[in-house]
Amino acid sequence: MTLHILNTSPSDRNTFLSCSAALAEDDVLLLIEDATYWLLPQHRADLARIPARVVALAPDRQARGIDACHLTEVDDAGFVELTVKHHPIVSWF
Amino acid sequence: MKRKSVLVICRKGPYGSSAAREALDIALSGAVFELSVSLLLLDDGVLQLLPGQNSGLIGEKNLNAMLSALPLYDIEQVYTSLHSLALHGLEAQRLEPAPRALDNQELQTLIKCHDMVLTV
Repeated sequence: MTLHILNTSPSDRNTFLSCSAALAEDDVLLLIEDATYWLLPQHRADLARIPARVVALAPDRQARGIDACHLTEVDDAGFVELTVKHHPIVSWF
Repeated sequence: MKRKSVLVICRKGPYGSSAAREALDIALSGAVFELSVSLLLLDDGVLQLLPGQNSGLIGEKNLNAMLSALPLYDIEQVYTSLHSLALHGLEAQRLEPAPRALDNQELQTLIKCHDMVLTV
């Protein structure tokens, strides 16, 4: 299973689309840094269309004042665990 | 021992930043050290393959000419996506070197079959 890491905000639509295209069903998408803005209510419909499991990095979301949603979250230790458990790892920025 | 395979992904055009040049340097370095290297050019990255680049006019080396030399380094195939071609209205066979255009399923498979993926 591949771990995809996205760090760009919803205004960079193309990075999101390319990342989505490369996501297989058993992959995980981790939202970090400005990609946590995808959790804003305005963008959740786009997130819901992603076939893979989506996870957000909690400290990055909380730092930006974004409300939690139903999405699974990880802390920094969880981030590390994801990188250990998946192969290969693809960064999208 | 099986050679490690590396997929280098670049999503930037050739001259707006140093990203394209760095991706190429990484690909060539990997090949020199006998890694099995593939290059995937997505979004603006596919613009690196536009023929007729005259980069001397802006004081840059012709990146496209270097990409055309990839087979000398055993990097036989450059990949892009159908989405990237459509984004800029390009046809694969008019690009140099002509890339193999992948649909989403093939893109996912390409990523999974490499030991390591580097995005530049």
